[in-house]
Amino acid sequence: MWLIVTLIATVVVTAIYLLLKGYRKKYKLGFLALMLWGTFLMVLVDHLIAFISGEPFMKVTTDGLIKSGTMLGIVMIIPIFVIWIITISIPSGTKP
Amino acid sequence: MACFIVPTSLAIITTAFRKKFPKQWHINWLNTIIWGGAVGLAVEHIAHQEIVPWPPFLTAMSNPADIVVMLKEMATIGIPMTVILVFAWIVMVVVYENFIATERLSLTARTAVK
Repeated sequence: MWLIVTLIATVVVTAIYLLLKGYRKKYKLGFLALMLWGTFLMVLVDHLIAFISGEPFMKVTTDGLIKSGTMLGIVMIIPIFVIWIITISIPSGTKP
Repeated sequence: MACFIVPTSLAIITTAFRKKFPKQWHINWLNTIIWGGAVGLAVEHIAHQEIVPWPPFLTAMSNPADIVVMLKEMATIGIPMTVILVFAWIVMVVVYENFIATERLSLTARTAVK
């Protein structure tokens, strides 16, 4: 399920990037989209190889700290959005 | 267990040497894709208790038997993961440089002529 959540986030942000041309640079939408694409592709490869090994492709629950697959997906993308918010909050040209 | 360490290792190198790459390669796109994915997958591995915030950080390192499994996973999942990410980046660069950038260039040239 966390694959689906990351896919939805990736598709939505990519659509926003494509539609809101005037806001791309200001809000660094490309940066956010790339990070989400990276997450989605990594999770996809992980799922595919697990599926080839005989495990189910999609799991609704997990046996880790976060039991819900959907909640895990949401928790996974939160740090990505935090990084993005920090990045757009720093004025352009400011050196850390 | 630690499959994302393989692409992250590549990202460390490409980030450290990012200024050595030609501008047309848009190496920062690859860096962003990998680092973003690494953040997401790190959270997933923490949730699955495969990573802990104290040494040895990878829970598999505590048990010698798990180390072999971890290394096997890094090879069987980490390497294909890295290949897919690099392939996605190559596709993006080729499409941008051959179609989008050239279209913008010709549009700029046409505007300048007018």
